[in-house]
Amino acid sequence: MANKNYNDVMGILRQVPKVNEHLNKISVIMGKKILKRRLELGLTQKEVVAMIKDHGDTFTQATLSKIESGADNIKSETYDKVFVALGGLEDLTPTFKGNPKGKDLIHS
Amino acid sequence: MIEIEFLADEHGNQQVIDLITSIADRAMNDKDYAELAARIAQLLDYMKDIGVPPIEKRTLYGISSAGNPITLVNVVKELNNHPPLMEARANWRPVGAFRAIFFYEIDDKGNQSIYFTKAVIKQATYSRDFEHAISASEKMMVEFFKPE
Repeated sequence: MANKNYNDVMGILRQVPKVNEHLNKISVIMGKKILKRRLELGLTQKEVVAMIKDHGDTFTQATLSKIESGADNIKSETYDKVFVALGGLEDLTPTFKGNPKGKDLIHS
Repeated sequence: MIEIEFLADEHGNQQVIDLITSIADRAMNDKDYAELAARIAQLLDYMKDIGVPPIEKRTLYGISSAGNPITLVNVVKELNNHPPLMEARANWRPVGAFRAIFFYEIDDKGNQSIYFTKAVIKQATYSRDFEHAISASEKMMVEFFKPE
């Protein structure tokens, strides 16, 4: 039998109740994007925190670590501070899946 | 680009996938296993997208909002005394600490190939099963790099 791969494993996990919802949580998506951006910029957490503090904001490394791990209960203003430190957002556009009621969307 | 592979042992078993599958099966009727499954999915999703960050960009220690030093847990971590093996980590206390052992290669363009070998759910800091998994992983890694 052929070996299973990454997609097979994710397929197995996505069948578990709430796993898809977890991966699509704003906090999880933002955490990954922020971590990836920080690494692309070659910055340490400490350096990002220092940049935020240079703007006159209070911030801790523990908070940044929580954000990057996808923790819940992060305020939007907290995300905003990190976005600014990482260069600012060009865009943030949610893309919805189908209509939950199964009806055609009304286009004006 | 990040590639993730799950190596088969000498018996042809992809034990990391076998363990994840058993967790997923149990998660169908157990909320705690479902939470661990979600965290494992997030861990693999992160690794597929980000790979293994350089150690200096990961952070082991931080300062809490109250000013106290705290240890920050990373999703990937070197296995002390067993380089270049590392562990990928997902915790959910009611079930235990999922640990998947891996090693990785990186080319001159920064592309990473991550190879998972063995995984366990730890119930305590010291785990005999985990030590066995490390030994088995070292053998799998040697076999992997053995010239054909």
